[in-house]
Amino acid sequence: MTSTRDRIAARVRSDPGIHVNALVRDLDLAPGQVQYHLRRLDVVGDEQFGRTHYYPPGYDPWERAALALLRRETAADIVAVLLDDGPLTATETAARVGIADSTLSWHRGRLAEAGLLASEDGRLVVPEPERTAALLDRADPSIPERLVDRFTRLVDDLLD
Amino acid sequence: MATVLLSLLLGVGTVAAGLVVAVALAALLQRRSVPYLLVTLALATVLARALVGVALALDLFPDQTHHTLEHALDAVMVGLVVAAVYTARRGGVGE
Repeated sequence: MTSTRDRIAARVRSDPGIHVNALVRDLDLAPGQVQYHLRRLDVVGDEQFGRTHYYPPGYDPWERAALALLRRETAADIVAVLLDDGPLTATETAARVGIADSTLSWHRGRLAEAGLLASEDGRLVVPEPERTAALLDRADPSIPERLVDRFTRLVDDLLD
Repeated sequence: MATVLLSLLLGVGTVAAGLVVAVALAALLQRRSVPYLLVTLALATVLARALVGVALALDLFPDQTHHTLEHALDAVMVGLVVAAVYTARRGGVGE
């Protein structure tokens, strides 16, 4: 029989950067129970943008910050477009991704801060394409994260 | 039959409005901007409308109050949406 602790460990391994709320919801456990096991597991808790994300061991701080961001659908879309077709201007990038300029501008600041995006001669590029592409493969947003992301896309589109 | 249907509609409407407001609140926490605040409040009026309906169904106040409240909430919602659009335009110019 799989213990609760093993289930939590397996979930963190399969979904690096997962948040406590998602563990509670997906595994149908109490928040206190999840916190208790997380403290005793060989996982790394990292505070990113006001929320603690959990990672299996072996990710360095750059990778942890990158994964937390790439779990956001829109951020991942921006990085994917730039990996395929970059360098692109901000306007071209927003058009390719299909988002409002204000949506791109909000994500751009955070992506640049994490080293996932840089500006060269007025065009956006992914400074570390190989590492970033590998992390993009691993990041998988949860349904509530997707909903919030799509809501902001919609509102930015309507208000822009 | 009519009461069963009404209860069902009130239940579904309240839960759905609650979910939409939760998503809007999460988005507001990320963006922390005036337009997002106004959009969240506008969506909250939809939830308030549903709750007014529930309160009436539970006989918490008379039908006349319910009627006035529903239409007052409509006016508030339209005002908030107009304000959200207006402030978004101003924000866009400043950027």
